[in-house]
Amino acid sequence: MHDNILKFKNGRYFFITVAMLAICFAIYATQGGKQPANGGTWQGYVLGTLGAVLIVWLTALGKRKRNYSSRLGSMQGWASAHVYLGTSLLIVATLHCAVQFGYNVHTLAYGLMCLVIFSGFGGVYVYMRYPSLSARNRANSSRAELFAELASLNESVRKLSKNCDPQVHAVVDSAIDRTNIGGGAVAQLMAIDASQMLKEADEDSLRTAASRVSNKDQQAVVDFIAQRIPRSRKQDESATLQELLTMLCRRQALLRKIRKDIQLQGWMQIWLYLHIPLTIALLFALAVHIIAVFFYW
Amino acid sequence: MDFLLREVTTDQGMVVYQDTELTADTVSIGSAGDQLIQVRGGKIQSAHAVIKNAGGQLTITGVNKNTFVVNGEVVKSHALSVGDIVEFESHQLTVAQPPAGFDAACEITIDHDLQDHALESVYRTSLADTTLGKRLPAYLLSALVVVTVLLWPISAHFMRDNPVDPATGHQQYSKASAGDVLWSSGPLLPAHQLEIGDDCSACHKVPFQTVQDEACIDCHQGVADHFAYGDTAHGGELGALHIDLGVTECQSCHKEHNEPAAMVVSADSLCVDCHDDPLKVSASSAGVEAVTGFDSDTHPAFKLNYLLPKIVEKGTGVGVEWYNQLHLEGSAQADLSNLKFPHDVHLDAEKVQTAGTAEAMVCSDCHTLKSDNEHFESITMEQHCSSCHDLNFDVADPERELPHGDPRTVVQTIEEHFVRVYTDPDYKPAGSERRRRRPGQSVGAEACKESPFDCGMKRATIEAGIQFTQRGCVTCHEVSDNNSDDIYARWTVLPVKINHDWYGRAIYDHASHLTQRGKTENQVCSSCHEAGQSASSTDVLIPGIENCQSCHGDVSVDNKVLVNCVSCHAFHPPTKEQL
Repeated sequence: MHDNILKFKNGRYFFITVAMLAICFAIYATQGGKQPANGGTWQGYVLGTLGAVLIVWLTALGKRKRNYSSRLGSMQGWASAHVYLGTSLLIVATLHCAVQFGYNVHTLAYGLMCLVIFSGFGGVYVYMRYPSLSARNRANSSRAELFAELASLNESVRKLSKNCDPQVHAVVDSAIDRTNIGGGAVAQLMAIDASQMLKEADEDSLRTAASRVSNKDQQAVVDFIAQRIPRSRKQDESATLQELLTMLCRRQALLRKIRKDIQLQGWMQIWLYLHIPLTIALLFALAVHIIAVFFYW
Repeated sequence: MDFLLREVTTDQGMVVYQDTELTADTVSIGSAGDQLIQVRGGKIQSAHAVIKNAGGQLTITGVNKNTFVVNGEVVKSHALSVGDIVEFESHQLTVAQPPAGFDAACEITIDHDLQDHALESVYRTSLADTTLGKRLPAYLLSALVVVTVLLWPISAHFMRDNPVDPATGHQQYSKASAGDVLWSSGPLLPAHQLEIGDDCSACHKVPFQTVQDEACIDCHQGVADHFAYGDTAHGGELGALHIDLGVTECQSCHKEHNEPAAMVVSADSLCVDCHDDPLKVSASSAGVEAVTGFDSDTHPAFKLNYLLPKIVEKGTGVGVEWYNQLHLEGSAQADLSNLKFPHDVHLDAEKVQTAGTAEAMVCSDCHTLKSDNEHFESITMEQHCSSCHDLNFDVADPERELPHGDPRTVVQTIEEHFVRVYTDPDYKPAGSERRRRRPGQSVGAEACKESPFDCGMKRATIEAGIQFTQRGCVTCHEVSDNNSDDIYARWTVLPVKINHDWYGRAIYDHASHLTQRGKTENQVCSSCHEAGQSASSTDVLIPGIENCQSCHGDVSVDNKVLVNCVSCHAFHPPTKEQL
């Protein structure tokens, strides 16, 4: 499944791209004479047309991706060609403009194109590296299986804590209820844990009510149970707390795994949130670039 | 606010209360772990509602217009009073009478089935669940692009002809705020930038139409053209020919917005695309040599544009008509300017010295470069010769000089002088010392037996003959003699015309070639013009192509100074003065 898209069919599209670039360089080199190299020579128009066609075709990957019944080549082949030809655009467009830049729509289109391509490089990197990291983290079980395991652990912990001191029960219950998984984009990507739990009332305080404290990485609840064990007066209570502690630690490890999974998954997706909007903006900038060139021909 | 939250649960038929004291300005209700009251359910948002206390009045308000049910009605906000029942899905919150020490209190009945069931549903575990999106940023970015680089610039085109506001006298639309500079594909030539600035419409007059020649001619009126050179042999057909060759517009060669900003096409292809085969240029060009570059075998030898005299009968004597004729450089054709002038003598310090310094003459004593750096000012007797060559004719009266220019006046002057010498007893050459004279004769008169007048006239006739045939005029000028008895009609001094433009089709910058390191001026000039060895003014001292090629070559030649066609041949020549 995770065959390297760069090596698709022995790098078929790499060689196609190199051949195309060789032709582009040859076309570029025929410039000179009456006019310096420029986007406005016939060579410039040819390279520019090629670049525009490439951009539109590369954008069509988004369409092809959703068209599962397509017989127009395999998705892997498209992705491989997408990466190589997309990268080649850096060169094609640079030859087209003959390295002339300014504060104008033309350079805007070029700049957007570069941003799209570089965000694409980010995508290639995570697709190369993260699937294996993710599989290793999950130990070959699916995310749904991890959550099923968590649900059963939650149930066991709740059941066990009911046999304990009501205060222990309330704290453990709140720790489960107020466990945080995922969250906003930053929380997902940085694996930030905003879990909370109730803190038992301070024995010295006049107040009898509990307050909420951070339960980051479930450490607070683990510590809380661990401290209760030596204070337990009955044999049974101690054993129950011991078992509860073991389960909370398993739960802690499982949550770490889930959070890591969400984090890896997030990084595998986040580049698209740049790549796609920038691509759409690029299409508009490209269209305006072409209109502008011929409007003021 | 001190808030008492009492959680009511039923455990094996027994009602159990769990009290929690909350001290906060607002009580947040939602599914997230950081909410003060945590209730979960499919439609309950992570932050769903808040309860606030304002002067004892509790109000519950949905966050982001979230709704909930109060006493059976779906609301977004509600002022709470004791006994009100707020429902979040199947969880119930009842406002209770606050006990002493509390500002507010409520009982909450949690639906544990829903609460536990919805535990995982509140987790946002994928970026798609977050506020991050792809569509909205795509739309916003695209709209920004369209507005800034399409609508704003294009408005400049449609608003540029807006009328002037009569009240303010300003055009209602200012070019200064026009956005179409964002469409410029490169810098303008500085001169164009200065003149036109950012007014794109100065050249781009009609949308989707290439810039027309009229836009250029608006400013560049009267530009001489390659094919309107005045060469009648080519006629007007070259204009049509250029169109055949695809040179239809100024734009064909002069492109703006290039980097670096440069509009003058200097590439040889401008010329040799056509001139590599003269037949391409014109059917009448058969036999003309092809030009493909500036190397020994790619550029034909130079042809000199001679200015030659044709002697014609004119009245009793002769006259001269001048005509131009091309001869290959190095041909036997002499330069016939009607002036006798040995360069070698004048440049020889032994023979000619500059007054005062006693040094040899330098070229620039006579040849003064014009401001075009190519041609030289005319040489005149008065300016360049007369300081050394005076026109005296009577040794007895060396200060008496002939006028230069008109032979009739010359003869007249000689007659007047000698008649006076013989007839005026008081005649005395200016500046001479008074000396004894014989009666009837003035000083300087030679012995003569005839009447003083006849003696004077006779002497004058002899002297005129000497001036026109032996020394005097004839030293420098060609003199035609028709042997007439009338000495006023006998001699014609042929007019002098010195060729000023040997290479009429080429431009040349003398100034940039006059580098003088370690050389005298005369050495510099004579490195091309061998004046020091020229004993006659019939010598042509203009160098040929090999002289240029000893230093210059086209792109195909290494280690030489590069020249393009247009280095010497202008496509748009300055208007040439009459040759």
